[in-house]
Amino acid sequence: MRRIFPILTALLITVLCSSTAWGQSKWGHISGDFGFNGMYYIPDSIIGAKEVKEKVRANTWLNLNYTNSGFTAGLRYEFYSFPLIDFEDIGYKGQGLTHYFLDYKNDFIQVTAGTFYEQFGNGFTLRAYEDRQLGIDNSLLGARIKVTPYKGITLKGVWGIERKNFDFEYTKRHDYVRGLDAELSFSDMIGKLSEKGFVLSVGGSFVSKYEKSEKDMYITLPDNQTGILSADKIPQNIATWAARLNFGYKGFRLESEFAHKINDPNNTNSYIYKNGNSFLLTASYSMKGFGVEASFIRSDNMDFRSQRDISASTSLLSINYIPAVNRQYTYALLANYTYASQPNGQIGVQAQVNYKIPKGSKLGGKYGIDITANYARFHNVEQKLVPDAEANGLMNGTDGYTSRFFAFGNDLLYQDIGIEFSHRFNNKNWKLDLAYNFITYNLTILQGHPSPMFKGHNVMGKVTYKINTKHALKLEVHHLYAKEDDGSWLYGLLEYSIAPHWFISVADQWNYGNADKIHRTHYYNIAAAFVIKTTRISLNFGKTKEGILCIGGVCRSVPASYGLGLTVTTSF
Amino acid sequence: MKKINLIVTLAILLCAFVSCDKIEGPYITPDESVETNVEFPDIDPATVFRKVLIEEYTGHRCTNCPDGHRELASLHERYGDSLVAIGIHAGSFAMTSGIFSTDFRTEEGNTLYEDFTINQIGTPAAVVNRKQHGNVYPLSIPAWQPAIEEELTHDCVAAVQLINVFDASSQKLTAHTKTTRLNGDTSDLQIALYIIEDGIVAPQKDGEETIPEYVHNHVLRGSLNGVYGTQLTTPEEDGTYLKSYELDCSAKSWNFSNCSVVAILMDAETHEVLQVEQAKF
Repeated sequence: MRRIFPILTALLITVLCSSTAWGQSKWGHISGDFGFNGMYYIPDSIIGAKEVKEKVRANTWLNLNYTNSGFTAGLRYEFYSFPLIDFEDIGYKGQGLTHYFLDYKNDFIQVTAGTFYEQFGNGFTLRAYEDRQLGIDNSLLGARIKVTPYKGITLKGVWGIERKNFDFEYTKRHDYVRGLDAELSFSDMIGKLSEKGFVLSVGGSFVSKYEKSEKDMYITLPDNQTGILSADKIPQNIATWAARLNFGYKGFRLESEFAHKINDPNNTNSYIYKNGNSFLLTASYSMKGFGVEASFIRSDNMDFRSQRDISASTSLLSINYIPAVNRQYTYALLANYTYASQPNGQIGVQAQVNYKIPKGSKLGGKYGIDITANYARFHNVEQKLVPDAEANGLMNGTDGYTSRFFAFGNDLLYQDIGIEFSHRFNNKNWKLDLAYNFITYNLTILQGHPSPMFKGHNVMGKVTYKINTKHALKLEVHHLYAKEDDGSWLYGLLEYSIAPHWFISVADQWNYGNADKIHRTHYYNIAAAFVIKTTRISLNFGKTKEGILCIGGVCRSVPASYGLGLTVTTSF
Repeated sequence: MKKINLIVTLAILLCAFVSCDKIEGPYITPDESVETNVEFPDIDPATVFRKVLIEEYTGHRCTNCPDGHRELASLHERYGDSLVAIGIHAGSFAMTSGIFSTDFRTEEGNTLYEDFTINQIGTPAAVVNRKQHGNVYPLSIPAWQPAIEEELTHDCVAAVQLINVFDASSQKLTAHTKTTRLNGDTSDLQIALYIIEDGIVAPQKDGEETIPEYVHNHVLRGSLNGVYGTQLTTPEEDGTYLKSYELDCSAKSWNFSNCSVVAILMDAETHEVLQVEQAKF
């Protein structure tokens, strides 16, 4: 791999140098983006913001891509040697060329060598992706082929080694991933189907990981006896497969995927040999002014990593992805109670109804009222220990447990009952949003710190006033009423924007209901941003509460911090 | 048609890479250690010193290997009890052929030969304390002494006591060990018990010559608890670890009076040797 690296770099530099002179011409096109996200840290013992020795930390990256006809070459350099403390906590620290590839594509075939991202279906078997905010980048270093032999048929093959933060010693790795995916879209193949409003596609994928097994493992059994899980009893090749269906007719849509994983004893599942499975079914119907969607999800023992020793507390080396189907909120006070998808054990439902009180009606007024009602409930899966696990008093080195497919476990993980109203009035210059949510959140299981079940009532009100075509003012007030965890919170935000260049805001989160009076803290934040063309420069000063950050059901912890932040992003 | 052929070829190639291992239970095998029923004398940590393990890879058809044997004898004279040697016959020069009919090879030796990439330099070679010296495991003869010198400078992190009980009538060996951590060491520990035999008379190539009655010393004969041994998971009340293993030697053709047990204490994660002890049957 080390030999490939300088060759790719040299090739890329050559094409970049040659093309820079011609810019956007027959010689090709260069694009990219640059980002700097830095912070000056101030210690604050009340909120638990620790002293940072270097005072200033920053994440910096540069992406460069060169395209010419069907050919693309790209690279990314990341400088995270002194990263923001969030990223240091998750081990995302270092610097180097983290992304580099050569890609050729025509109507029939696409081939990629180097690092690449890929997803099969919903990601149940494979999702190599990047989320810069979460500090996730599990790109594969290897090769990929996509073939489209006929319209509506897509075949993909991948093999490679997953990125592990800034560990570039790929030659020392004893693990890699390989996979196949096929999708047949009948509605693309048969024109009459789509003409009549039908959507129909089926797909399947197969992903296998190899990891050398060379060490025995030891398990303490009852009466201080030692059990040995010998290296030859630890599988080196572990496979998952999945099948999916997507059907639609006019306003109706049905999507489903089922996945199965064979014995995969690893650190996240206490080294049990039980097979894993996951199932997602989503049905929706929409018509003018009305929509309804319902989802069912079950995933059991589906945490699938390139290395079996990786802890469940990190997203490192995840091969697959089990999505969270609950509604994702951006409400400030609910951020710390966002549901994190549980690949190793969750079963639940999500339902949502959208209705628009018609324009011109007595209740709807001139512009109508949008109403969204939502319900979500997730439990752990039912677990009945197998006799060996019962006898040993622990599951390690056994088949673990049995679980009926549709049975809900005893532990409620998360529940959300919510309703939202949105209404414009006075020539659409005013917009009012109101929302109420009742959240039940299992802190013990979802965040790993033993606590009573959190129950919170969140009320949100937002008014946006468009003063004129350029100037707008937004006011948000949120209130979270709770007795558990940190108790009740109040949040206010005032934002003034002068389009298209300036945004200024002042916000405060006040933990007025904290049982400990000393922690009834104000987490204030003053921010300003300037945007010109594709460049954005923003400054913010304030405090951040210790908690979690979740995107799409994947979460990471966020340490408490206080200080001055500067972010610069630009693309070209 | 060309497209279909290409797709089929690609699919076959990709399928070749994709596989899975279905493991059948039971998964856990019990640790076959036996009760430790001997009394170990108290140790004075101040008197415990670090010993170094040298594993010499050799073969009876290897013309240069006697140079290694002579070097090892010289090192033994120099370092005395501080050095414990194991002679591992493995690789192509250890195969039997013609008058070289004695098969000195063992499963353990073959595994170690692979794991420590001895074929990088071939025999004669040695690995000192199962650590890389100069970024490689196998060392050629001139590098043996500097590696031993380097290892002797390291702190002693544990003491290993070894008592063998050999029942001559049943020819059953029981090796008892006691491990005591020193200097606050907290690494996960693993102990392996090997059997070696001295004074085996059998042919050996030596340069251009073949010596029919060559004396082979410290030859690896096997192990009591596998190539990398057993992890020390459950400490006694005083923080020490006791481990004992039995071996039925009745079917072995060894000269028991020339046999010893070597107890190798290593870091469970890296397999780096931390201490080593040797005792006769």
